[in-house]
Amino acid sequence: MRGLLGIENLTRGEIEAILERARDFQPPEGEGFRRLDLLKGRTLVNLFFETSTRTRTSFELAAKRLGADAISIAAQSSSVSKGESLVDTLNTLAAMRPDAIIMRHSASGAPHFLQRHLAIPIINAGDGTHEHPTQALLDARTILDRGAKLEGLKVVIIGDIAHSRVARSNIYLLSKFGAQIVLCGPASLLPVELKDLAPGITLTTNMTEAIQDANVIMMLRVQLERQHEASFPAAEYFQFYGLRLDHLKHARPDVIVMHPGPINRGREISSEVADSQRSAILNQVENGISVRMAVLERVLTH
Amino acid sequence: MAQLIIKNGRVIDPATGRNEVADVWLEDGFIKGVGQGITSANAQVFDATGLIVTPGFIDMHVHLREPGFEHAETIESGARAAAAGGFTSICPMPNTSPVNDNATVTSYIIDKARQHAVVNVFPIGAITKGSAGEELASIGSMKNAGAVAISDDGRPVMNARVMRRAMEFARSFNLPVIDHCEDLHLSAGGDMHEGTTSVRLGLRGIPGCSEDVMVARDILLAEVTGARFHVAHISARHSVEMVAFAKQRALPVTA
Repeated sequence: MRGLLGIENLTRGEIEAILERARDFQPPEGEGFRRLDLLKGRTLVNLFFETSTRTRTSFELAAKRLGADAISIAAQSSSVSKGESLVDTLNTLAAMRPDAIIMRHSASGAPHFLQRHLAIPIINAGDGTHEHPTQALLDARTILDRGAKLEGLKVVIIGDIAHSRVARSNIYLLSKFGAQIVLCGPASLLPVELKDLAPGITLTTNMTEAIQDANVIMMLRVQLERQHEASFPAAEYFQFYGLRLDHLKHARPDVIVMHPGPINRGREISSEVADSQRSAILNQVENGISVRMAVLERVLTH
Repeated sequence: MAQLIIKNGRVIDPATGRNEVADVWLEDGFIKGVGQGITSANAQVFDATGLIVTPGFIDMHVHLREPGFEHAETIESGARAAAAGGFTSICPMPNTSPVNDNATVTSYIIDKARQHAVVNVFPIGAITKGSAGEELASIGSMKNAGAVAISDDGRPVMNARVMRRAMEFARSFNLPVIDHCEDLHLSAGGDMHEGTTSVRLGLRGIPGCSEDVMVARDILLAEVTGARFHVAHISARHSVEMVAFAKQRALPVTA
């Protein structure tokens, strides 16, 4: 497997293999992670052109737990800020012979563009508003851990779908497994073309309708920092698209509430829901490490 | 009398409906005849076997980089490139540096072309000063210096009032107004056409209606002012329908 740029072009089999392997890396209940030597002597570069705490830390820990050396470069402190082009920066790093580059960039397609110029595998840790493949994989692992099968599952994704790379990757993944996907958000953040992304997608701007009989509710972070314009009246966002306890009675009793984090309490999700038994938010974070271990192992050894 | 026979080329002439392999006979630069097997004892012969022979093309939307960006292209090199592609007349847009928004720049381009260009160069003047969309350029004097139309090229005139005044003025000098029809508020930040592909790639879309609303506005202003209006590089379905509507109303609108 050469790099991991997105979920869109993965096969169901490839996804299953990663999810299965991730389960091997999950620590037993109540125990810590064990350090393995599967990637001993390998070097990984974390290159983040966009700020990130959890994804970068998660990849670093995943690398370390597999025995690999990982270094992290924040683009703000690198020669990128001195005007070096993206290709030049990557070529410079590639000349130092790391085994893979994990990158996050604010431009959609940036890792795809670079992979055409580089032989070293690139793992996409989020590109603009396009894909965030490891997030979708860890979300799937989290759903499966709660005993559900993906096939036939009703999964509702709520929020700024138009600008969400998490939503796109999840849509591609869930659709490949035959899930029923409902996308919900303000009309200005819910372009009708989303329906064409994959089979099994319906759109609605009505949150109660969306949640009806849902097995999984995925909330997206409201990214006011990415709003280049006023696409919705921010003052009433929580009223119409914020998840509250009373919404959950419309869903299945065993509904799972997910969020890629960091959460905005009181903006897209109430504290009562975020901290409830139905919330799998911290399981997602935990699974991030096992899933990324599986991805790193697969990219570097297959 | 200098004679030239262009032999055995595929002669395509929309004006006469001709499309066949034939010979073209010229005398002192004028076509004297087109037909099969033309010979003349004292004519120079150019063998055009396998080539296409047509009237010179006209490109009414080119970007010569002189004045201001001579490192990229000069009027001379741009004209040679046009000739190489079969174009014998070109209309350069005003987005030079300085912008062609006054008679001095227009005259400079025409003088340079006269000295160095191998094709006809008919400059297009700016609509507004610096193509900034605010103050009208020296439209009348550019016309007198040889400008054949006005346009702010890639910068749409966003202010409808300014466009109205420009059209009124252009009409009195019988100059067509060419607009790059795009509502910049609707298209702001866009990377590509808005649709399934932009949504799939996570790239910001430019909606077709960003062109449509400007075409609609400009057609209405053309009707009010009586100006000749041309939509540059039309690309959206509704824009085409509106141009057809304008033509039905016998307005001097083209695309």
